[in-house]
Amino acid sequence: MLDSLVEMLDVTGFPDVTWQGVVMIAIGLVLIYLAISKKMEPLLLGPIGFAVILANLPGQEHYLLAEEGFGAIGAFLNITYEYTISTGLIPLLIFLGIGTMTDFSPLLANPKAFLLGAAAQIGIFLALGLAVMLGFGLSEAGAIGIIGGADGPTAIYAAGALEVDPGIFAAITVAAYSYMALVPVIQPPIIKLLTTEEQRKIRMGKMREVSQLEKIAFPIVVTIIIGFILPSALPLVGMLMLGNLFQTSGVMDRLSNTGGDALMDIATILLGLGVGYLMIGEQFLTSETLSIFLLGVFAFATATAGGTLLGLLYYKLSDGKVNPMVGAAGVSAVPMAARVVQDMGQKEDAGSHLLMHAMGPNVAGVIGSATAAGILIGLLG
Amino acid sequence: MSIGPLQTVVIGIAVVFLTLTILTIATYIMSHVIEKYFVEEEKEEQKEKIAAIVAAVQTQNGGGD
Repeated sequence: MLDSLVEMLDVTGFPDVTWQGVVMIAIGLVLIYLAISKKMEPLLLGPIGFAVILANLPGQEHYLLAEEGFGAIGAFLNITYEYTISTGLIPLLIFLGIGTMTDFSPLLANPKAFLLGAAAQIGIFLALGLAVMLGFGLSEAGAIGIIGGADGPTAIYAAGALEVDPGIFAAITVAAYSYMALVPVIQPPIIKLLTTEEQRKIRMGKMREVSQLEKIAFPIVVTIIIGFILPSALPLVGMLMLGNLFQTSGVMDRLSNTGGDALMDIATILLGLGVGYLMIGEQFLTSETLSIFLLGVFAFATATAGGTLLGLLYYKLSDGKVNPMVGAAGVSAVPMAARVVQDMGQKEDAGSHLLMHAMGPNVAGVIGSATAAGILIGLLG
Repeated sequence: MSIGPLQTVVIGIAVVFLTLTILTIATYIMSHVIEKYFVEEEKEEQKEKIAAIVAAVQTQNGGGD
């Protein structure tokens, strides 16, 4: 009878319980709490949190994570990661979806905003340097630096292309998406530190209207130019621009709707599950993960500072007509970074409307971070 | 040839700025060309269409509510 009970116990998951697994289940619960209760990137942190719990419940290597033997064909989380994320498919589909939802009009109305988007990518490269100093390899450091681009799909694509270890890959992904949600917390103190109250009060005039033909030509022109200058950035930029052409053309509404809606949702679910699968206790609970999270904050903060400093230069060159805060929106967390600038402007002056002026650098930052990722893949991949 | 961290940082920042500067200039040129050679035509066509509609409405009898 006792033997039978012991045999029964072996069938349960209890003998396989590890402290790392328990901690990871707790982390999964926290992620679900943040997603549902705090509404922090709920569409992504929700599935990631649930997948973390799935992957870390005892004995799941036999069912959900198997690489060979029983369950290999049905090892759902394993297949999700191997075939959709590590191949770069999911981030590219998400970029296509982002393209269908992005309005480049504020950038077309003021192309100088491109350079604000470039300045905010400085954080990527400074974080790369710091990561190397902390002992990371150059490819890993490059992938970690991309967190400063404030662009989750780009961070995932770059980490996959640079072939970093699964534990580092997972930490980069979670850090990138978490910090995107924390833009309203991280950016304001840095912007306040670098600008004066008078500068933050500056109102900016109305932007020019952009013709439909410009909106249609823009994604085609950008794609061709990036293709010639930086082929390694073309997959990301190309998908972004294809999605945008769906939207601007006016004759591909069905593709635009699917790309930005159903396809985006499918990609997001698979991304969440695949990333959660990587967060297995033994691989994730390391000092490297903590370092990556700290480097992510540094990357984000210096990216914000880089954009704001170029914003200050624009302010000087324009005789005070440009509000330097719009530079901070050059980090590509769309549209959160632009909203932060709008909110800060309105706190100083209720009649100030900076949103569209900040959207220009904001969408330029998406192109900028994809460009930076392409450079790192080209140099280090 | 392997590349060092410092070179990566310097080249990376330089190429990001170079690429986005080229995109800035290209966007200005594109907008200028479209504005000068295409949008005016679009506006003229629209003006003609509006004039035709106005003329048609003016010649209509009755109607109104």
